[in-house]
Amino acid sequence: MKSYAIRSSVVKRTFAVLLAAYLLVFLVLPIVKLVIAAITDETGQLIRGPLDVFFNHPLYLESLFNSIVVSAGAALLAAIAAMPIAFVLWRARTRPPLLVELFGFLPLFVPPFMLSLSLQSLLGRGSGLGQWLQSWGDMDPGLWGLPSVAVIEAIHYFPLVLMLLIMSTAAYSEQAHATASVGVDWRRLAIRVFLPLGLPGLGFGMAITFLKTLDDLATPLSLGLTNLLAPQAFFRVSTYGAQDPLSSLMAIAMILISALAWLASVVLVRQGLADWERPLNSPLPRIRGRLGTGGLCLGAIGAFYLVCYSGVILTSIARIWSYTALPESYSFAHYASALESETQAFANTFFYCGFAAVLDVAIGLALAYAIDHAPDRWRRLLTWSIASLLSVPAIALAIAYLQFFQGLRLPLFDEPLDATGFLLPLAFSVRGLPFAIRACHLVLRNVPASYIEAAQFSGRSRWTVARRIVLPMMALGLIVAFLICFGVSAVDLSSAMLLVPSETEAPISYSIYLHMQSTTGRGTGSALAVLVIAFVAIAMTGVVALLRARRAAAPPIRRIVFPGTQTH
Amino acid sequence: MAYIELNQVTKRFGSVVAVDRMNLQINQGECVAMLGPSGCGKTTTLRMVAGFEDLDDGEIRVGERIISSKAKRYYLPPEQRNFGMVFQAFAVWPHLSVYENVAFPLRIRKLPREEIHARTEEALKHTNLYKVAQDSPEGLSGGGKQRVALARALAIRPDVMLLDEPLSSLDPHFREEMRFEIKDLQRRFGFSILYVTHDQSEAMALSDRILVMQSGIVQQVGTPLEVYASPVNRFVFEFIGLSCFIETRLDQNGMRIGDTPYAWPENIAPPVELVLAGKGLLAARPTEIDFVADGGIRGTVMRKVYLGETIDYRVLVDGTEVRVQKTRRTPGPAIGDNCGLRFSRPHWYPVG
Repeated sequence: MKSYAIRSSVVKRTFAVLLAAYLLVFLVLPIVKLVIAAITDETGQLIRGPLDVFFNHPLYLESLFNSIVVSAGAALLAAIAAMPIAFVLWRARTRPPLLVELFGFLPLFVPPFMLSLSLQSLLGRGSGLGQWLQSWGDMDPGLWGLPSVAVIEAIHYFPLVLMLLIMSTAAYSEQAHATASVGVDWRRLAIRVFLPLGLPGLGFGMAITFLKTLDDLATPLSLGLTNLLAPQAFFRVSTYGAQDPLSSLMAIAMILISALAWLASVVLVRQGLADWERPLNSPLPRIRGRLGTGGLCLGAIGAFYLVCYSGVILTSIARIWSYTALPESYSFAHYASALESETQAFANTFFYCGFAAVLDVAIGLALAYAIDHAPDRWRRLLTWSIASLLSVPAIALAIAYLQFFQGLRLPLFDEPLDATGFLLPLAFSVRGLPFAIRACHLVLRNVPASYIEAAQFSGRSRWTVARRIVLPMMALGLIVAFLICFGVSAVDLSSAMLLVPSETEAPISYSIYLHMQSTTGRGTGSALAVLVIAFVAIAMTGVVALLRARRAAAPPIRRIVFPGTQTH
Repeated sequence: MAYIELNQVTKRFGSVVAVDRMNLQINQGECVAMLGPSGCGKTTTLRMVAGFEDLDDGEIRVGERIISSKAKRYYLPPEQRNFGMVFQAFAVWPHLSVYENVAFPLRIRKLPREEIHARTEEALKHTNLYKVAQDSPEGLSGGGKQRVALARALAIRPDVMLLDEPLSSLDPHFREEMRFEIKDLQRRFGFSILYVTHDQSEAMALSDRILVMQSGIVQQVGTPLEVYASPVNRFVFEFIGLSCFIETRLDQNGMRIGDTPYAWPENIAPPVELVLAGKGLLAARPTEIDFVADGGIRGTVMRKVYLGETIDYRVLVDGTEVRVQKTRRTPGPAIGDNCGLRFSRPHWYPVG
């Protein structure tokens, strides 16, 4: 009989080889190819032409500068808005209701260009309010121009930053909160207690906002802006093909900026990666519910977002809306049209995102297990490597895929791989991996080793134990992980715009974007957008409710999952 | 003949030797507790017996059959050893009812339905869980969950029960109650127990023999009384029960504590090798030291604390603090008094 270690190590080694192959083929090699394409010619000789062009062309330099400024501006604006509100909520000990907790994570599952289109419907030059502002003192609502991108992205990601701040500060006991509050001036409390507690959440939220803004292709395009790196790279690939060295150079520049921003934020915040993960690992805030100042704050934020998204909602139910503050007549025809004409887009989304999410959960489980069981040094290296995946922008990865897999034919397919649409879910899965690993990490911690060992004593094979004990115990966590990965992929418009072979094979986010580009398609596009937001909101509500129900029902498991947590 | 036999069992983790050439024999129906501080190798030993860790050297036998042998490259997987195991974290599956938790091992062994039902009911009755059989284990207290774990282990009618700090997560009240229940179940079913704990009172109350470990090495194996009354070295003396030590310089005429000369303690002289070495450690249990008005080792009472039934004294003897415990009915000195100490059952160990 083979020993325990040998039996385990054969399975582990097989998994390790598969994982390494996946990361090598779908991440490392494409990025290496991207770098090679930017600095060599067809014969493999080193060239500096693309570098010269990039650094001597005013448009590219302007795009580089704009991308950095807009991304940093969005992160800063979101942080400036979130900090005082988080402090008020923290001080008032307001427990955000389920809806708000859900609302905080919506930005990760809704593309920001929807907000841009909604605001354009309300404030754009063609809107009633825009017309009125222009006629009244020649005021331009100013919803175009680079600052608008920063403002829209900041508004979009503000709830995420706020939620991470709340989680970060709520990870401490109420006794600590009360002790800190006794007889202390609010300014001192904010600087000495609230800010240090909130720093991991704030840093994480700002970094996400920066990276997502830098990578966002659809929002600037929806505003008609092209002097940013992402649109420039997109146009170069669309015009000159994937082998264009300048687009490779732009993709590399975006990777470098993202990586530097990620590192800089970690260094500036002076927190270890483990501290950064604290807000995500912490249980949901358990602060005594109390309305008042906190409730008012939350209400005002809710009303503000309702107004912001009312543009999309109104457009989706407007039959005629032109040059008036509100639509002249209403109808649900756009919803009917959306459901009727976009069945394929829905199916495509379920295929792409579902495939990516299944892959992510499988790989995430294996990697989370490997990280958990690795020696300390390797654990740190693995954690950092996986976290650094966040700094590979979708557009850069898409360009890298187009270059690396161009012309490659799979044995069972007549077409080249880049014409099959399979590249898109693979890109989605690589992008979703950091989220998958985090989610799977928590899933694994829900099944302590002793539970599995107890089952192993029962006298059957490991597969039976996995099927009857491990999987049922992990089921809810796996569903959550799947939904997170699915949602993250569903909003990845930058990858979709480059990697879908044709419009009929596009996922829903791309269809919304295409509809919104034409005046006649806006109603249908808005209806689709509302349906997507509603779907995500319902799914998230269900998941959060299930998680809460499980936590309430299983205090001992919570103590195992969050051993250091104080409940109060 | 021994039922479970560990011969030269060794386990290494990198350069650390977790268990070093361990030998142990456990008889049928015997309960042996492994006692030692954290990291001493007791859980690793239990996991090797269970089959969750491989041996780096040695052999483990149960009855006539080998279950792990490094030399013979033989290994029997955990599920084929017919052992029951109870974990510190209960490991009661939350998605199954109490009944299903207990019946699970029988179901996947594909026993006949009637037998599954009969054995599950029997295990539930013996652990007082019959009334909550259809409930979710999540609603049970810590003690209740541990009963479910015990019932699950009992249902398979194990040859050996492995208990890994099963009572550590329980409240003190439940802990005491469960000790008796485990002992009672063992008597009824007749299985052998290998019990890991760091709680000496638990080990004393439950086991027929205690094995004390330190840094992967077995220090002593004996009945609770042997281990308590005749510890083989300073570590065992210190680890089991309360203890105090006085460093002495020895010669043929007597001993010196600091600069003060004393005669040998009346009832036991130090071993010759210590006298020849010139120094030794005088060890005693605080309950085995008496106050005497004249003679004895002289010291000053620094602290006197009432602990209900007993009074805890700290007496300073030439710079060394000696702990003495007497019942509250025994008259004793007051704080600041000079008193004499007489060691009724002293032990001698080498210094260092």
